[in-house]
This record gives sequence, C-alpha cells and structure tokens, in this order.
Amino acid sequence: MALRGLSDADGFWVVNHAANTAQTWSYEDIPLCLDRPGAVTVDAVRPHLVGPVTVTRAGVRTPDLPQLTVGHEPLPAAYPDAVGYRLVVACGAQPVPEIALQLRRTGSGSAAVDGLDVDYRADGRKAHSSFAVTIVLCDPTASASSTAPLTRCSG
Amino acid sequence: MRRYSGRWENAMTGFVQAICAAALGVVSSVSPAAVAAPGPSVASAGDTVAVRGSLVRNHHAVPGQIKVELWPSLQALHALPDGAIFHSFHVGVLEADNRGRFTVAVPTDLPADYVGADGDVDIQLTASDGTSATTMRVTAIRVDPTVLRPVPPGGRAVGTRWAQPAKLSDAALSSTGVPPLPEVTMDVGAQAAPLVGTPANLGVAPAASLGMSPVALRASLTAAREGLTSPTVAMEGCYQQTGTRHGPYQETYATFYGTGNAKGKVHMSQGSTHTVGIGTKLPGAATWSSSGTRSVTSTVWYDSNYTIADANVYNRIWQRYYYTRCTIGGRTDTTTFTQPDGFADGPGYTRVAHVNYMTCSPTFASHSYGRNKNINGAYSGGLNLGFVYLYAQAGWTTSTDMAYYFWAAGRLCGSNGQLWTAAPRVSAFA
Repeated sequence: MALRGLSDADGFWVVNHAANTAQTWSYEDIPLCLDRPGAVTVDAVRPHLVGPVTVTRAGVRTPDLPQLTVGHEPLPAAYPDAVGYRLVVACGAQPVPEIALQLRRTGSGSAAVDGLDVDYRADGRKAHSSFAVTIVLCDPTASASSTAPLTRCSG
Repeated sequence: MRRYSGRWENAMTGFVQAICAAALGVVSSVSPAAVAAPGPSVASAGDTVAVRGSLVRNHHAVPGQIKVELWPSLQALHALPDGAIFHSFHVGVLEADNRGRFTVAVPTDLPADYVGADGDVDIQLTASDGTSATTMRVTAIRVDPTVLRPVPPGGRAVGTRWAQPAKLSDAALSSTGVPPLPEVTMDVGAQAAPLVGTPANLGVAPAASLGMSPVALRASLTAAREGLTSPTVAMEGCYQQTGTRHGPYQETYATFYGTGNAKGKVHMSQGSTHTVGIGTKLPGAATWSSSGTRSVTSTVWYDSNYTIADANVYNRIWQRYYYTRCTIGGRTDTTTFTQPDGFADGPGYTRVAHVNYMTCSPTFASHSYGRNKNINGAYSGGLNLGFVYLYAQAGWTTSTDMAYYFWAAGRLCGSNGQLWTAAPRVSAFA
C-alpha cells in the first residue's frame, strides 16, 4: 500500500496576492489518503521552497476538526503534527484528512512552496510521495518576477 | 517526400493495378498477386507505432485490411484555396489479425506539410473486411518521451514516439506519466459503405476494397515527388478537394459559477490544442455521422481577467468541407468531410443561473485559486453543426489557464461530494 500523492496534472495552486511578512499564513486541502486499506506513518514533510519563505509547522486537519477560516492564522493546536501521524484512511472515503501548512514570508520579494514530498513508513519499508501543490506568497511591493511559480503574482 | 514515395510505391504496386471506386467501395478486377502485395506490415526502420486499433463487425472482431494515409496538416490545408486538389501521404496497407487487432506504424520523420504545429499528424484509416468498408480519422502527436512535449514540424528528438493528444497534457504534467497511444475501434458493420464490385471480386480480393484512394494513384506518386497539390484530376480513380469554410460554431467548454466578490478568468495562449470530431457523409448516405477526431490548435490569444461569474465560456471554431471523389466507369461517388479549420477570435459567454455545490473549502481575501490541470469547471462541450453533432475536448497541450480570484473571504466548492481541488465542477461564493 502507498500514500497517494498528487501528480502535476492533479495538483492545484493558491496565490496570496498580499502576503506581508508580519503575518503567518496557513493552508490545507492537500488530501492525505492511501491507495488501499492499511496504515502508514508519516516520517517527514519536505516542502520545496522558492524565495524567502519558511514553513513553521506541518499539521493534519482530520475530518472532525473545523476548517481554517481567515488564512492569516497559525494552524490550530488541535491539528496533530504531520510527522508521526498514523494514517489509516483509504482514498475514496469522504472526507479524508488533509495536510496543512503554516508558513511565513521572511524577507523582501515573493516566495512559494512549490510542491512537497512526504516520507512515510508502510509495512516496515520507507517510501515517499510527492504532492504537486503550489502556495505562492506575493510581496505586494515587489516588481513582477519571471521565476515560476512567482509569475502567478502578476496574473 | 522522395524517400517515402519509393517505399509506398513498392508497397502499393498491387493496388496501382487495382481500380479505385467508391470512396469507401471498390473495384473491378484485381489479381491474386495484387492482393498479396501489401503484406501485413508496411513499417520500415524509423517508423513507430502511432495507433492501435480493432476491426469489428457489429462488435465482433473480424480480420481485414486497413489502408493508412496521412492528411495534410490543418495549416497546410488552411493555406489552400477552395476547390484545390491535394494529396494524402500514403503510408501503406496493413492487416488486422483474426482478433481484429492491428497496429499502425508511421514515419516519425515526415514532410512538413503533413505535420501540424503541435507535432500532430492526421491519420486516415480505411478498413474493410471484404464485404464493406468504413473510414476513420485519428490524430496522433509526435512527442519526445524524454521531456514529454510535442516535437514540432522539422524538429527531431531522440526516442520520438506518438501519443494521444487529448491525454498529452496529463502525461506531460505528470512526473511519471507516459502519454498513451491513440486507440480506435472500426466497425465495418456500422456507418459503413457497401463495396462496389462483383461478388466474385469481393470474395477473392478483399484487399481490393482498399484500392480506393483519395488521390488518383498515378497522380499520387507524382505528387509525392512534387508537392502537396496538383492541378489535374485523373479521369479514373480518386482525388481529394478542398471545400468552403463554414461556421464559426460554439465549443462550450467551461462554466464559471461565481459572485460579485468571487470571479473566474480564462486565459488561452496561442497553441492551445483542442480535439474536435470529424463529420463524414459517406457515398449514398442520407445523413452525416461523426467519424474520428482531429486536433485543432488555437491561433488566438485571450485573457478574460477575473470578470466571469455564472457564465458558460465557449470558443468559436471554423469548419471546412473536404471531398474525396472517386470515379470508375463513369460513375463518381463522393465522400464529404467537415473538420475544424481554426479558431475565430476571442471567447464568447452565455449567462447561466448560479449554482452552489456542497463540498466546500474556505477561501481568503486577495487570493486566487486554480488547478494545474486547468479544468476547473471544464468539460467536453461538443460542437453542434446543425446537421451533425461533433465531439469536442479541450486537450490543453499547452497553456490554458482557468482560475478564481476572491476579493473577500468566501468558499470554493466542488460537485460530486469532492473538494474543488478534484471535483468535475466548481462553484465560488464570496
């Protein structure tokens, strides 16, 4: 059994067009499920960073927890940490847990998380899955960038 | 052209002896040698499989023969005036086995007039089981699998192969995906033309049914050496001719549900490829049918900005008639095709009532949202020509972007109980 990632074709993007550095932002909706019944344990979440951005926490919103509401907020304490999370939900069951990221732009210029990898253990073996999710934090004072995916700030 | 004309001539020698007849029918006398000449495969070094297919009669597999030829690219056809006589590129004839299975191999290195802007080739398959015949068109895109992108006309890539255009973007966007080959099923029991000829001929020479050619065979050999078009029409045999443009017709392909503070946009770059059905009217048929597909590449660019709420979005696509005329013994049969000829400028919109789907995610002010696959609310809208309804599918081989922008906090919702990130339809509210 394997943790089902999000291929590039199945992925999605979110662009924050006014992300100032003083605020922490949180995003979810990244489905976390297995390709068939079983269990895996998450070992690591490795975001691919572009520009001045830091991911300060990776959590899991389980279906019983309320959704984020305003965006400029830290992940609720009730969200379990992603690392160490034991996933037992097969894809197809609705709804499924979601990976949630808490992040902040750390300097001048737009920045992004452009995909992430999740390391996990299943049946004693190590594996990883990739998620084609892009979160762009735009610096409203910066000039247009020609670097993907920061080009979305001007789109 | 020179390289292939020789090979084609060898493969088709038997058919040169055969006489063309109805566009889908055939023939008079044909020798056993002529029947045997084509053999099961006409592929040579440098050819790669472009299409896999099945030959059936009323859903039951049958053996038979399939004639393979390539139409000129849409760009090449577009440049021809009405009434121009043009030539297909003859690949050869192959056989479907007892299970009806066949594979079509075509050269990866083709003359520029037969390769479209996306590296696409338009393959016409004409199949017969010896009793009746039918025809189908299918587009394959030449791709470089090492980078999963189309190889343009004149370009070469190591490991070039063919792929289904409608799936190319999915595979190209996937880190592990390999574009699939086009697959077709040809039914000689449905929408087929009866063969013209004597029962004796049909019994001993099923290959004769493939003698029909969209160009006079002798003229074809000449054309293969000299170019795409010819001013002359053979007294006996077949030729192809351009007709008039008609339309444009609406291809509705997306619906945006939004509100004052949550609106969508669509951006289509030049080179965005869509797949549209081909309408065919066989000799003697009273009605049109849809027979195969053709990919059409946009030559227009547009960006709606974030202005769309509760509207269908449509492209406008021109169509053009083409004719295959075959003359034998003074009788002429005509097969008429209509296929896409290009995009008209800009999109169009029609208002629809607002819909709220029920599986929602909160969205934030000053945020935009989109899916990599660019199908937020996109679907196969089809193309209604009045006399025939044709399939249409946005293939998205290149950039077509659809997204929502939120001026205030709201929600994005998906249909079918799925989040907006995966649902077939999406609605926005803020």
